[in-house]
Amino acid sequence: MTARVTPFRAAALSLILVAGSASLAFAQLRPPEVKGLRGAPFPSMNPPPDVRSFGEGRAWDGRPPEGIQPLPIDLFTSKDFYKDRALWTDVRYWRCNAPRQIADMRSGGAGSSTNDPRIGSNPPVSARWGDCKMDWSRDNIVSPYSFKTAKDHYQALMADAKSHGGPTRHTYETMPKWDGVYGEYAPNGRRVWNYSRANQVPTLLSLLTPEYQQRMVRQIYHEGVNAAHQWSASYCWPEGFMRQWATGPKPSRIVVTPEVVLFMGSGSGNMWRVVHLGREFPLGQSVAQWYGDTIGFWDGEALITWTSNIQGWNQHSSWEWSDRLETIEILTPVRDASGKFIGLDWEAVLYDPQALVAPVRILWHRNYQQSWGTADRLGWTECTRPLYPVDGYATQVAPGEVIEYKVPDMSDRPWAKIWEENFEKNMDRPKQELDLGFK
Amino acid sequence: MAVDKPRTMRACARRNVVTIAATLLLALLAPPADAHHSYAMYDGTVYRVFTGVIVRIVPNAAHFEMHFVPLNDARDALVRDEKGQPLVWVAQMESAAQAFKDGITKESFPQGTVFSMGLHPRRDGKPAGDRGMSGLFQCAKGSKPEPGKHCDSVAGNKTFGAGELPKEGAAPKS
Repeated sequence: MTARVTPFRAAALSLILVAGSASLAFAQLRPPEVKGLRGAPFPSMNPPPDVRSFGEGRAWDGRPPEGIQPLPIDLFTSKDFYKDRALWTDVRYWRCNAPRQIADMRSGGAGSSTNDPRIGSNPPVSARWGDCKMDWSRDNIVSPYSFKTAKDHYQALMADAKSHGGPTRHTYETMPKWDGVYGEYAPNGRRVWNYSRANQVPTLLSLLTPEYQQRMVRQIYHEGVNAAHQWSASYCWPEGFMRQWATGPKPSRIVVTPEVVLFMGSGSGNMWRVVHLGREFPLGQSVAQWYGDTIGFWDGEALITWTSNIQGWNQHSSWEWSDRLETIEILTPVRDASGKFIGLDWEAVLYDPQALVAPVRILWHRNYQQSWGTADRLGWTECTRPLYPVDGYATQVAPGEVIEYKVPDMSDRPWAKIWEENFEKNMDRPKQELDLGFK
Repeated sequence: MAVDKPRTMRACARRNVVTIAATLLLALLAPPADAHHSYAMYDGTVYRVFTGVIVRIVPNAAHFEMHFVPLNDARDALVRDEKGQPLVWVAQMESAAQAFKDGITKESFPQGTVFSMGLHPRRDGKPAGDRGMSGLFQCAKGSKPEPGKHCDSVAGNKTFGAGELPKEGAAPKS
C-alpha cells in the first residue's frame, strides 16, 4: 500500500516535527542552574547565527554596506597591522568579518574551494564585507561566575556537593550510562563562539590581554591578507586543547567507569582525555600535556571536572592560549519528555590569566547518537603526509621532491616564526629579543 | 686424558646457572632502556664539555632535551653563529622519567640558568649531542665560572644525577 501525503497531512507532520525539535532545543543548552556555580543562563537569549557575508558576487568586492563609512586604512589595505592597534577595536577595520570569514576569504571553507572567493578580484583590497550588525554578545561569553581561578571554582563546586552529601561515588551499577557515540548539537543562533564565526573581531579581542590581542590580529592578518595559513594539522603539528571547541578533534566517544571517565575522538588528530575521579593534583610530573590533566567528581548525575597543566598553543583563525589555561567543565544529562537520555549539556569555563582579561564560558551540547555496540570503529589518525612551509605557505610537496626546510622550534610558537621570516620584513614589529643574561 | 663426564657436566651446569643468574641480575640492575631512536649519530668516543645558558628544557617524554647556548671561554658572552645569533645546542638527555628522578625540570632549570655538562657530539659537527654518562652541574644562581672553568668549580654548585664532569676529548673506555 502506498501512503498518500496530502498537503494537510504534510503540514500537520511538519508542525509535529517542528514542535518536536523545538522541545528538544528547549531541553538542550539549559543545564540545571546552581546559583553562582554552574548552569547560569545566557544574559542575552536568541543570539544571532554566524556573521554572514554582506553580498555575494563581484559587485560586492570591497563595497561596504549602505550607511557604513569605511576607514582610511583597514586590514586589507594596511601594510603594517602592528601600527594599526588603535583601529583594531573598530569593526570596520575588519570589514565587519568574523575571524573565520577572513580565514576563508580565498576558499569555500576548510577543505573546499570556491569559484567566487570573498577576497574579490583584486586581492586583498577587494575583500568583501560582513554584516556589521551581527555579533554574539560579549556578555554571553564572559563567565557569569565570580571566581578568579579554576581552583576556587572547583572547590566551591565540591563544597556545594558536600553540602548535600556528595560527592557521589558511583559504582558500576549506579554510574550514569553515558557510554556511546556523540555528535554536536549546534542549533542556529547558539553557536559555540570559539569557532570564531559568530563574532565581530573586536568582540573577541576584547576578551584578550594586549599581547594575546596582537597574536590574534597577527594570525588573522596573515590568513586574510597573505593567505599564509599555518594551521596545525597542515604540518602534522598537534591541534591543541581548545580545538575541541572548534573544528578539531572532538569528544565524540565517552566511556564511564567508577574510576575514570574517558573522552575520545579522532579527526584532524586524536583527542584523549581522562577524568580521574576522586583524585587530587598533581597526577604526574610537571610536564604540560596537550589535553591537560583532569580530575573530577560526580555530583549526582552531574560530572564536574577541573583540567590543568595544559600545553599553551594556538588554534587557527582564533586566539592563542597560554600554558596557564585551566578549565572547569560541568556535564549534565539531558532527557526528552519521555525521560530518554538524549545527550549532554557541556559547560566549560576557561581560566587563563595570561591570555584572557576575564574567565570565559562556552556552553555546547553533545547529542547522543548510538552505543559503542552499533557504531563504526573509532579511527586513529596518524598524520604522515604533512604540508611543508615553502616561502611561508603551507604547501603540498610530492614524494621525492627536494625542498629547503627550516626545522621549527616547536617550543616557541613556530607559526609566528614563519610569518615573521616571510611576511613581516618591512613591519615595525615589537622586538622580543632572547635575553639570557649575557651579551 | 681421562675425562670424568658426570663431574664435567655438573661443572657445566653450575657455570650455566651462574651465567644465567648474572645475566638476569645485570638485566634487572640496568636502567630501563626506553630510547626509541638510534644513538649512532653521536660520537661516543669523545666528550665535549660545555658551560652554557639554558634557553629551555623540553620535557617531552619521547625526547627529553635541554636547549642551551654555550658561553665563551672567558665565560662572559654567548657563543654566536656567523649571523650573530646565539648558537643554540640541543642536548639529548636520558629518559624523561630518569631526568625527573634526578630533579631536572623546567622549574629547576629556568631560562638563563648557567650549567656545565659533557656531550658526545654529533658526528657531523652540528650543534647537538648526547649527554652520555656525563655529570650535570648547575652554577649557583647569579654566579658563573672563572674563565676556562666550569660550574663544578663554582661555590654552591648543584649536581643533578650521578657522574663527574668528563675531560674534554677522548671518552674513557668502559
